[in-house]
Amino acid sequence: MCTRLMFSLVTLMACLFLQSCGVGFITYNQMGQLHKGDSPEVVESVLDMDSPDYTRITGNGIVYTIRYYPLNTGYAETTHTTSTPGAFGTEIRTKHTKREFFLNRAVVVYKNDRLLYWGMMGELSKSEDPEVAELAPQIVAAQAR
Amino acid sequence: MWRIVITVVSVVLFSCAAFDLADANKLQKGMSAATVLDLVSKGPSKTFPISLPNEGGRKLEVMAFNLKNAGVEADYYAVFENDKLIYWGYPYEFNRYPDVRYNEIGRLAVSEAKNY
Repeated sequence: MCTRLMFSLVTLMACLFLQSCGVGFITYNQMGQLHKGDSPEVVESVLDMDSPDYTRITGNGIVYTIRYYPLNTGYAETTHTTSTPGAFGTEIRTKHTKREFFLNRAVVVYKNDRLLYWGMMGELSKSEDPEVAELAPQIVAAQAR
Repeated sequence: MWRIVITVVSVVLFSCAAFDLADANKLQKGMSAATVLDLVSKGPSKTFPISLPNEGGRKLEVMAFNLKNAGVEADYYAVFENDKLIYWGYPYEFNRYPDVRYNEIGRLAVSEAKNY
C-alpha cells in the first residue's frame, strides 16, 4: 500500500516537473504570431518561454533591449535496436529513437519596451528596416560578449 | 504491368515531395500563381483570398505552404496581387516588415488561414 502511494507520488511529481520545463525552444510558427509594438509580456506569452539572456544597447540616444531565444530549425532522428533474451530461447528486440534538435539563435529587439524586430541573428544586418540594419553590428557584438 | 509500376512509383514520389527552402528560393517578385505552382515541388496546403480593409476591401490571393526543413514544418505564405507575386516568407517576415501594408497582409493571412 505504502509502496503504491510512494510510486503515485513520484509519478505525479515527475509529470509536474516535465510540464513546467516546456520544450526549451521557440518555433517559426510562434514567431509568426508576434506583431510590431507587442509588449514583452505578450511576446513571452506567445513564445511560451522567458529569456534570462538579455542585453541593452544604445543607438541615437534610444535604449534598445535585446533578448535571445533558441529557435528550433530542424531535427534529426537516430534509431538503434537492442535485443535481450526472452523466454524459451526467444529474443526481445527494442527500438530506441533519439531525436536531436537543431537550434539557431533568435533575437527579439524592443524599443522603449515595444517589439521592434524579431528573427534569426543572421537576418539582422539585411533587415529592410534601416533602424534595425544600423543596430545590427552592435547587437551582434553584444551577444559575443 | 509497366504502367502500373510507373503509376505506383509516381504516386509514392509525389506523396514524398515537400515544399522546402530550395522551393522558396525559386520564387521571384512578379511571378504569376501558375508559374509558382509549376516551379515548386509541392503545391500549397491551401489557397485563399484576403481583403484589405484599409484599401476598400482590395482582394489579394494567399498560397499557404507547409515548408519542411530538417523534419520541422512551418507555415510559409506567398501573396499575389493581380496575379503577381508581391511578397513571400514566414508569417513573422510579413509581420516585422517596415511597411505596415505587409504587416496587415501577414496578420490577415494568419487569421484567415484558420478558416480554410
